[in-house]
Amino acid sequence: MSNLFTRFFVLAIAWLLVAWLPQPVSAQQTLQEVQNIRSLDDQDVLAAVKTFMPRGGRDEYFAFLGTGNSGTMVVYGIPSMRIYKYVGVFSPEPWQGYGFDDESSLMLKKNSPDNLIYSYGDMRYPALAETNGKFNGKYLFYSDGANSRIAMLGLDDFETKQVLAHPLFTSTFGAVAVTQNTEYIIQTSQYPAPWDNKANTLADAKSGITFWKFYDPVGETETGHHIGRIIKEESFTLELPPFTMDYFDAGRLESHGLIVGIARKGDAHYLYVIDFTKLTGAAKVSVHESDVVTLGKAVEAKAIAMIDIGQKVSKVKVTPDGKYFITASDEAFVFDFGKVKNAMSAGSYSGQTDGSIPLIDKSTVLHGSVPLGKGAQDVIFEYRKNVAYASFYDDKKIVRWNYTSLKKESELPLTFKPSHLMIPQGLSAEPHSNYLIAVDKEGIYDNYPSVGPVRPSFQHLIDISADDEMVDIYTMSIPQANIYGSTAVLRTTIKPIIRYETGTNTRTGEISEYKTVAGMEKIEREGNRVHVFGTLIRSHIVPEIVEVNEGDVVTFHLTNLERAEDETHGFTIDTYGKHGSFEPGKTASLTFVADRPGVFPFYCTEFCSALHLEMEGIFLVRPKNYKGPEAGEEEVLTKEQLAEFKKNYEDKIKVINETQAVINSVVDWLTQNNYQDHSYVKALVEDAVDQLNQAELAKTNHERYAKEGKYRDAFLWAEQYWQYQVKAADVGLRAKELLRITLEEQQ
Amino acid sequence: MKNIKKATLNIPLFTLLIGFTAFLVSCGGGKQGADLEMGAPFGKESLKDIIERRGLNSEDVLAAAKTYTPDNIADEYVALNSGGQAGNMPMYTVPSMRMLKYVPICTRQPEIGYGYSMETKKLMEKGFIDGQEILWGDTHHPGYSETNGVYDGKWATVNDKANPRIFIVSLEDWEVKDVLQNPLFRSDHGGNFFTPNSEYILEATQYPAPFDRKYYPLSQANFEKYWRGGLTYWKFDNETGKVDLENSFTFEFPPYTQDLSDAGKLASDGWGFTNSFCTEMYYGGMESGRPPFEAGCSSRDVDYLHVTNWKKAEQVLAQGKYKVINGHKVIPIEVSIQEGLLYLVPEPKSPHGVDVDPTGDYIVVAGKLDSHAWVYSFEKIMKAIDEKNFEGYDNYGIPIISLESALHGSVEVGLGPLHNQYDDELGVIYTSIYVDSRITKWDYINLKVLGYVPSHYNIGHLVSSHGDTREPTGDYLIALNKLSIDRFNPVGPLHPQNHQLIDISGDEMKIIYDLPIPMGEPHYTILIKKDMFTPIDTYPPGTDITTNAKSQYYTDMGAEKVVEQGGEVHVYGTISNNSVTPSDIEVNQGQKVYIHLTNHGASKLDHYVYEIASYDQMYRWRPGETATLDFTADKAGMYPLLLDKIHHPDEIQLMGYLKVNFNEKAENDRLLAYASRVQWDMKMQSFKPSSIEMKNMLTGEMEFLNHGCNACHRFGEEYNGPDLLMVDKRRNDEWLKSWIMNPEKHMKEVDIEAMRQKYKLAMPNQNVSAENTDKIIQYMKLKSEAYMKGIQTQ
Repeated sequence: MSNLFTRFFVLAIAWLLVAWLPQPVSAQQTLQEVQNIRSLDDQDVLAAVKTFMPRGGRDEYFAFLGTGNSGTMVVYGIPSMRIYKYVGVFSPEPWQGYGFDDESSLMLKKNSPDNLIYSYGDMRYPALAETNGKFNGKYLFYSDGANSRIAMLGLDDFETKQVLAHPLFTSTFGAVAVTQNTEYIIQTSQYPAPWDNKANTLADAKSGITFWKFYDPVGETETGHHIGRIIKEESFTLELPPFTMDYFDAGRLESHGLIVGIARKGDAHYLYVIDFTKLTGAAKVSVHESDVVTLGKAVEAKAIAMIDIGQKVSKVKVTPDGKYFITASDEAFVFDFGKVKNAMSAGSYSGQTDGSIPLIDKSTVLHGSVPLGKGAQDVIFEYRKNVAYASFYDDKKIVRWNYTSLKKESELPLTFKPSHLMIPQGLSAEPHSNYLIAVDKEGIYDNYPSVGPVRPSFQHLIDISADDEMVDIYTMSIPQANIYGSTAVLRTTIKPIIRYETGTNTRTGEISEYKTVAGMEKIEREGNRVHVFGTLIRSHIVPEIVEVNEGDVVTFHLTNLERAEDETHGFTIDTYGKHGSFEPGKTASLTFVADRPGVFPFYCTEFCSALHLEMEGIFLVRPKNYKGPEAGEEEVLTKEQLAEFKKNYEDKIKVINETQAVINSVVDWLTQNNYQDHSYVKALVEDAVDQLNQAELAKTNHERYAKEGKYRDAFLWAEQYWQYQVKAADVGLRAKELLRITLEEQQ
Repeated sequence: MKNIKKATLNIPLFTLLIGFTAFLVSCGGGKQGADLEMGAPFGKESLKDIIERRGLNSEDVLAAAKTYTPDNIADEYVALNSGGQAGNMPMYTVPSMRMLKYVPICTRQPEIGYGYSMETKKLMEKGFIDGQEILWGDTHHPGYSETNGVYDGKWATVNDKANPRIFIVSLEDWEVKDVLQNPLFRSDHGGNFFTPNSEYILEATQYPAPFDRKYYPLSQANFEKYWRGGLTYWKFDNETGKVDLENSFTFEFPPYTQDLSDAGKLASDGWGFTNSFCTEMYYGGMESGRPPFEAGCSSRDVDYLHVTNWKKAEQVLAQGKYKVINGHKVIPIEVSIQEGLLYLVPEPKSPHGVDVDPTGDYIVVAGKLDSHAWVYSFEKIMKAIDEKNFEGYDNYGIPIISLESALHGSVEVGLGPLHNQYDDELGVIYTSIYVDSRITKWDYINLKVLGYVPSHYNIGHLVSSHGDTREPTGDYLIALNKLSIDRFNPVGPLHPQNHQLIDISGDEMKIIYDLPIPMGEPHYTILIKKDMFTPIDTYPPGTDITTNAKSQYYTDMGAEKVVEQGGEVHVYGTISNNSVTPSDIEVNQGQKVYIHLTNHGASKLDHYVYEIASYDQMYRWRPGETATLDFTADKAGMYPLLLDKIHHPDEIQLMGYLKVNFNEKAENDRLLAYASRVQWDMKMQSFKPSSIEMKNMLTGEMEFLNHGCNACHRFGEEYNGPDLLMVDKRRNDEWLKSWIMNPEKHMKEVDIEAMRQKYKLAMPNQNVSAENTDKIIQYMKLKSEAYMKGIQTQ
């Protein structure tokens, strides 16, 4: 029997040496054949090659969705329209440990008025951080239209860094706007409500606009970690009469300092214009420990005016150059910021509305208007100068038009009812072109697989690269998202990290006070409070056995020691309801009460190596007044058993030597092919070396135990040494494969 | 765009383009990518222009055409995945590889409303083990119900490895209908394998633990005596989707770590196969000097395939030969041995997949630590049992069938074989190879390798279309890769998974699509033909979707009412035509409120989210559904009641207000609850110094530790590398800096070479930045100084 297995081991090793066998060559299908089989016409093939991403290719844009009541960010790539990530923002998400580990739970609770983790949010229109009116790729902001919160994500690691509850509003509009240097993140109320929880009539209801101060330190941390944060103490709210607030946008360049938005009251429809530069210095009053500028003060400071638009409009958006703002219904209205500014500074008003807010006569500030269709849903801008697009839901069309000459350029009839529109960087000073995304809220497709009443959301990719025509080229389905607006930025603008500095609390960006390094794991007890300081690395968790007493309050503080890209570990203790995700370098903690006695396995929840399933441990909770069986004597090995282990040990040493030879041959191959010139390969090789470096302790141990004649221990530690070798070989082979592909492609 | 392949317009591509002559003639003249300003329009492009701009080769163009699925064409398959730590089930279409749905399973999901209505919360509570609130899970292995060994399109199930539970999903509406707790296990893995006529669902343990769920001190003796593995056969009613607890049972297994299972079919129908690892019964303890689990659990040469006879077990149960633990029937090991229900067969080390072939005659096992896949013959196993051809018995007395008498043969498939799927051609099997990152196609009858295709990177499971049924279709194969490293746009340290679609319709396997899986980690996937299930669009009016029965809270249009009784307020309301009746709701602070709404919308577009702003209360009502928001009105004030029609672009609409009248006692209760939450947080954060004393650290000490220098070097003693005491006196700063940052430059220096010989180790390049290197050098000086001072004062 054992001969058979020795053979397997040796053959296993031999596999490492096998060069890549050539694929059998079979008759290559032609494009024409595939077209015939799948009934694709030539237009389909054009669309296919415009959107298909060759293996390992990079999409041109990162796009971020407003996902409505899902409370989760969705990021996808354009033009492949593949979704890269869902990130918990307002809703807990266990894959990332978000709302399940201590660090994220504390972040979520800290700024909630009642120290609770709210369970969802309604995020409709995200905004990216800006520098000089251009997206800088560092942060992303969302407003929670359901539970009245605001969130900030860092785009270095794509994690939520801040979630703040609004101190005054009980209903917020699900949008944020960012000023051109991210000085302020702007959020408005949606439906009027009292700011005082003892009030019980609508007579006390108010609305408002909040200017959240954002501070982004110029010097980033050494690791490139973005550490900007919203500063609640320096933020303020402008109090408004009880309007129903709708979509809004921030001015840029020459209109920097102004905010425009839609407000309604009964049948009256207004656009509001706020000059926040005049509010920053205004006197504030304190309500619920937050700064408020009263309407009176704002009017006094000439910081607010409204335009009676006379009809229901759906969006208002600032043009890329900051010269105009546009809103639309059956007609598109193009307003001139210059004229508005003049009217506000000259005080040329036509009257007043609620709260003595001055009204500007629409005709005096309008650049012009143009009828485009029935009931415009959305407007968006692109690279071509002065060109805008508008969507028409009932007319099933998108119109391309010029907002300075006020001329319709072309129309694209669609098979669906379009609503929200997005063009990469379309809402910045630097809009791009080629791709237009149109949302389809109905999403009825005869051919799309039906999976019950709850269907995905849909949006279409429309090719606008040609001057004369627009083509609908891709239908994308998105699950777990109730899609509204979205935003997108050039891929290279975002500079994600692949690992954290060892011991990082990723929610604060600081080194955690619970950081643990190899060899320094420990369990500390103080009364019924137990802290476990542990580490994670392929393929073990240290400590592996943890015993506590019933009723102890236990925290596992774990640090992932890996530095290799994509070597995430997860951790959970069975049936205790907690989960953490530990990306390379991250430290996170899980606290719970060990209120149930018994035996609870714990394990790594992210498949991390061939021995991932063996990355496990046992958590024991000893009951109060335990009276059951005790541990009993440890067994002593018989002479025969010891001899068997000695033989196993010697066999294992042979295997170790053979494996090392194989590893050396892989290393030689990599070295001969200048692996260090290819950063991905180099990183993998370093990772493999790391694994081998880990092996030293195992080696010292097996040699020591062998010397002492303790062959069972010697054998087990030799086994452990071999496991490290296998892990090194695993990574080494991955590096070899990657380098092989790279070299082939270069030829 | 450096990662996009260089344009390779070679001859085969031109042959591909024959169908495109019209285009090539009429188009062209598109602007060239390189000349464009960033973000400028590409202009009108021909196929050739696009291919050049995007750097596609002929294989890419073919793959694009094989996967691109315009609206007038239907996808062929739907893939159902487990979601791993995300606790859900992602679905996507094949071959267009578009994400289709996340079926919520163990985790609340607001977009669908799962875990937000009283009804779905109750369903989730059925899965709270020992009353512990569990709002996530680690879903692992989905299965489809079967009739005659093929999918019948009725039910899907999935297990939760972290909290041993089974979830049952109806393929009519793809919603969870039931949750079962395993009453014995603390962990399961190989869940959800249906028997060929869905008589049973198999669920095996992963990590063993005492069945009685009691505490026993950990020792080898106790581990072997009290810890147990097991295999539960859940008796399933394929019509109702319910499990018959009375007729379900568990085989007691030794405390090996059980893994995946499969049910026999045709010839082997009536039998189950479960593999295992760590038959060493080893437990780790690195912290106390014991080798870790990973060493001890892989030290033997083989593990055991558990062969169970469930048809005969039914008879044994009928004779009352079982014991009851935690209210559940258990067949003890002794009974299994006496009655011939359980046998072991040696199998390759640390196996993962055990997969019965479409004929039911062969069982293929892939062991991660062996380079071979082993093929067992069911006929031979039966013969060995008949002839009692056993090589021995394990410590628990279970007969071990000798390998030679059970094995049909083995084939060297690669390093780290993991899981197998079958082709429509008899004898053809696909095996995922984890370490080699590839799929091996081979013949398990004639025992030879047929071909390979690489996967990127580190494939775990794989799935072929209907590849675990009696009738595989042989159209597509999907590689579930564990690492995606450089495959996609980078999105931070946490990467998506990578599912690669492979066309297996021809002789040669062709990778045609890389799909990032954006949340969670699918462990296993099952494909089902799009037309093999019949979904509904709407529900009959008043349906409680968790039971599919008419809800007792159904409210007719015009019959809306508010009932107040015993401190509770019940609102019976309706949703119809974009509005909710009643519009306003008034309660007193501290009252328990139930808002029962019936959605009278009857079209597939009538999905509504109704919510209470800033009260964290919401649910999504499907067409025809009746569901309830239940909550305590613990904070006073006025809160907007909002309605959002999901399939319509309008902003959320105001229906009215929830008015909660202030009550002093209730306000006090709220504040007390708030205070206790703050106290818990303080407990959570109670400070204990970490394993590194961050205060009082010497300059550079953190960098020294971060880069792992302590793994080899100490001060005042030799370790795995030379003693660093006064190293700054032996070498100058410039040399030290160069050595730390670029050790390979110095390897040829004579003294370095000598040290390599001595320590048998080379100084690794730890990627230390210049700044950190300076800090480390400073630390070495400070540490040496402090050390010398310490000696002098002694």
